[in-house]
Amino acid sequence: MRLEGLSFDNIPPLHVPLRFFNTAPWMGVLAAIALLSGFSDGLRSQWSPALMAATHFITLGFMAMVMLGALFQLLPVISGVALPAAKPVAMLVHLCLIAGTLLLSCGFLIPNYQLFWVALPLLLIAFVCFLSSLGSLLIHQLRGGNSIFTVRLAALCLLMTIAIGLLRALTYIYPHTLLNLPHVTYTHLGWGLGGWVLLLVMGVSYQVIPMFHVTPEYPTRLARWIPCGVFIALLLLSFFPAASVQFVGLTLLCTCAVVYSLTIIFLLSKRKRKLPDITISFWRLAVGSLLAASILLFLRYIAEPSFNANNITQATQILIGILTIYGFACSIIMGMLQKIVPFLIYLHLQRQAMTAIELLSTLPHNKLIVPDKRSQWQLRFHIASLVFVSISVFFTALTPLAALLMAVDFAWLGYTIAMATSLYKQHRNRITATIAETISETISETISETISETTAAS
Amino acid sequence: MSSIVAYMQQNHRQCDELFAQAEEAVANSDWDKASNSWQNFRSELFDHIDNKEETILFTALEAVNGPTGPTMVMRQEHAQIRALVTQMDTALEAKDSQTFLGLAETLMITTQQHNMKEEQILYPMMDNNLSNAAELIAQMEN
Repeated sequence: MRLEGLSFDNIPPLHVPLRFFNTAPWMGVLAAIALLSGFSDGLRSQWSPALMAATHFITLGFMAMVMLGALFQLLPVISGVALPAAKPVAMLVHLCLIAGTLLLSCGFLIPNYQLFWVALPLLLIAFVCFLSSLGSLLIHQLRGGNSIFTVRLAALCLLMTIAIGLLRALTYIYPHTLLNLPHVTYTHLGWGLGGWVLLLVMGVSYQVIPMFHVTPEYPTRLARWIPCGVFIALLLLSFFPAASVQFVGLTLLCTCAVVYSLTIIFLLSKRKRKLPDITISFWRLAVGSLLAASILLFLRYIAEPSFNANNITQATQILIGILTIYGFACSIIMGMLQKIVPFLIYLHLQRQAMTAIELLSTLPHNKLIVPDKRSQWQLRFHIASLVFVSISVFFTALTPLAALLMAVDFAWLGYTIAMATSLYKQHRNRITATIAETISETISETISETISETTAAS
Repeated sequence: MSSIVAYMQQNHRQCDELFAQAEEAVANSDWDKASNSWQNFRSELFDHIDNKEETILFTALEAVNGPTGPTMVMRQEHAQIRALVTQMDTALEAKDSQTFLGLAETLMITTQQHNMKEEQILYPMMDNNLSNAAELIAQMEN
């Protein structure tokens, strides 16, 4: 076995993940502002400019931003191999993702689809850089296991989402020359939410739920079959329009999501680490939302199999989207950030302090970096906002209030991460100053010893 | 137990369970139970990192492959884990549950990401490179 090149100490500098984590919540605030700009019309139609803009601010600006930042951090840890040129790649991906998301969402909001000409290449650069960096690790370096298998499938789904998203965006720029079917949008949504988001969360949860909460392992067979089922369902739904096949595909997708959610709820109930833990509440809220979204999706299909939606089915579709994006994905991301951010900060401070052991006891532990009270408020804001956004689909006059709550929800997260980052900087400067002081004291002691020895000798 | 990875993985889970018991006792301010559970966890943890790993397994791997990057980094991370445990000893003595639980959260994630590297890479590497795995497992059980 070759051991050279295999080092465990490949954790990228802290600013690599933190730059993504510090940007993401403010993109969520922009989503709320976009929704607010549509006044009470934002949630009236799934094609409303305000909703399209808000959706992309959240999926690209918030969700993809955090997921990419986290993967830059996580992959070197689990693979033992550093991502090639992590620092410049991370910077490029970060900047392109910000600019691309802003332009794409503004293109929807104004609406001025010509902005897509700039937005699409920028987003493409961000994802191609990231996927090529991730791809080589996923294909060659990582060992098997259901977790990595599922992340591989998720990466494939991301490719599909981007490809179909590009096709859909081109139909905005050239409305008369290319396919302009709602089906393309649903396929894009399906691969993005059902594929990339759901499968990535599954792959990550197989590892982190037993690890962090000391629960039994996710059942091995289910851990392999559920992601396969989701992937097959998406293939059936995308490429086989016959009604019977569509029914099978949709039933399979919903069943997989329901079985996955119920298993997570069961595992969490069996956890040996019984302390109150805000991340667990976020997980419960997330899988509860996924469960509700899956059941609604199935019922909506039974009620009206075609895409010609009337008002009620259209509102239900928007609600399914809200439950999946804001209720499922955003809840997990918010919950995980409450753990990941303080841990990364502590890890980096501890590494710096290892050269001056007496400093270790002065480092802030996790609950000082992100206090429990702040996390509890995050959960309250998030639940309140999710409830109001969901209700606003049926009572659109409430949309401005829901958007305000959503802005508070994301801004609170931004504040939490910014405070943690500032605490990190304070302690980092203190450690550097102490170490520099120790070094200069040692040097001056050595010099004076040498001088006195020389004087004594002469 | 036929492989190093399976044997050590099970020992990681055992440590996790003992850790969860100590943490719960501190959260309930049941200090006698906390002290006992913490001692149980400490002795299992130190037996794991000092004896099973650094004395038996790492030495065996380094004897075959020479000093390797992975074992060196694992030793450094053990030093970080020991430093956290010492801080938690102090917090427990002072019955300072807030500090203990804050550090517990840090220790939990530090050990979990450490375990993940061992289970994903280091132990399988040992199973592939060391012909006397069964003998080493027997040695660890004593």
